[in-house]
Amino acid sequence: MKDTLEIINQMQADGVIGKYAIGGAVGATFYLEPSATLDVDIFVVLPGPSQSSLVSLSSIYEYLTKRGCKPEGEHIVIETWPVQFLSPNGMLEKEALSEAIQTDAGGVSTWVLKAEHLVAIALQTGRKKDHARILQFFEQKAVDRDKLHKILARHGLLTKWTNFKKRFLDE
Amino acid sequence: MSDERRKRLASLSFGEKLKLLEKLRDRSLLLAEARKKLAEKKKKDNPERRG
Repeated sequence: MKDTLEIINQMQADGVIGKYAIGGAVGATFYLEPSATLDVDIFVVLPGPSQSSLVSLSSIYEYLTKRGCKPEGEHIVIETWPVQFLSPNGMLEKEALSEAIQTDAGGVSTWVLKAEHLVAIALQTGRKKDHARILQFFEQKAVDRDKLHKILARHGLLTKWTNFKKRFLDE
Repeated sequence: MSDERRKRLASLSFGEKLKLLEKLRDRSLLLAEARKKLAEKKKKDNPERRG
């Protein structure tokens, strides 16, 4: 993973991508105990004011394939990890990326989405594995409820949250 | 997993957790491969009967 992040950092230094942050299960691992996952979700700011996300994602693929990385479905394998690059879709993901926190991953600098944003995105996505992850955050008290509530209110997710709490948290 | 063990794992550094993620991933892939081979062997040993 360290090698994977180093290549992504180099890609950022070379101007192919702007700010990026780790989301999904690997992002959640920053706050929780590690749980098995097969890929890495990376939210990226794509440089260039008028480029469509499709064009810019193709520039990421072009950059990486020249360095021996192989596309595999929705992913591109960087070192040993399939990575999915995601251009933030909607205001919640844009806010999450802009507020991501910088951290150290075994000597490599990287960015991770905040816990409250990971939970809000998981709620919005709403698959079974997302719901399970939200429960993990609550079981381990890894999320600030007030901050989460403000984010959910800002992005119109309070009804979904009420339903989730009734169903899974007995609240 | 016990609460104590979960807490201990959650308190590791991100770098250490990422190393564990790699081990978990490798183990998952190995198990998936073993299951696939087992299923193929079962299929070979017990071919579907045709009426």
